[in-house]
Amino acid sequence: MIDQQILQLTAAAMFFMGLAGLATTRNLVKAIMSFQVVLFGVNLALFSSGLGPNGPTMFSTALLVLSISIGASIEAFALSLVILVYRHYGTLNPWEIRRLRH
Amino acid sequence: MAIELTILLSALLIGVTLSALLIKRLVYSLIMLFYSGLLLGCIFLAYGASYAGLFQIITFAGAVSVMFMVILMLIGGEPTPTGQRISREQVIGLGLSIAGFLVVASILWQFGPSPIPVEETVLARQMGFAADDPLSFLWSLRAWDIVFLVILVSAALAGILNLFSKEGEHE
Repeated sequence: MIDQQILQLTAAAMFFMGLAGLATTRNLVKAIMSFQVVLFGVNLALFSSGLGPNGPTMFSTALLVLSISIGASIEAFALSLVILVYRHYGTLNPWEIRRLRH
Repeated sequence: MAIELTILLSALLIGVTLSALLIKRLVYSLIMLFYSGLLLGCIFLAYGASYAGLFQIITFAGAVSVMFMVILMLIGGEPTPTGQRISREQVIGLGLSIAGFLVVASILWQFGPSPIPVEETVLARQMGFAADDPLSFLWSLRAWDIVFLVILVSAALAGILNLFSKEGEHE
């Protein structure tokens, strides 16, 4: 087994761990934390797919920097939405928010 | 790089991330997530991607962690509700995630990726790009992506600034 394969297995594990967290959590902040784990998995997959015999290629590194920036700004936006939701509904439980919406 | 170090870093990363997702208290979960970002940055640095590694550590282990901490202070760090019945949607989501991982892992196990040697430096010189700097390489190839990224970051900043504005508090 080579380095690239180990890193891609780790990336797959992180992606699906985050997905499972997103599916099972009852707290919006925890959901964003799970989204961050998904993002880590995606970034690691992107990095490991560009790993050649002489280290990472410049194109994969450049795309990785782009992906990190996009992920961080989406997360900041999601966190600000969470605060607005908390001020409006007084809870962070998505099931409760869905009940209060009607 | 030695394969033992890769296995050690990967195992640590999975363990820390799993504990971040399983711990009920949000503050401890956040601390574990901080270590997760740090370890991922260390993996990038260990393979020689210094730009990406440092950027990962500064962004996720630094800025995003601080932002999470501010959010937890604002909402009071309420713990994840426990003792509720597990719904059918949660079981389906968990099952689909485990099944998806098993499928992807079996594919990766059988058909491992083969590294393709790419003479990027020669290619970049032929196309007239700067071949020694990932950021200028990115700018040469994906300038529009970066412009839209700047718009996205501005939207996120505007959202956060709007959150802390005095006008919002009066409402």
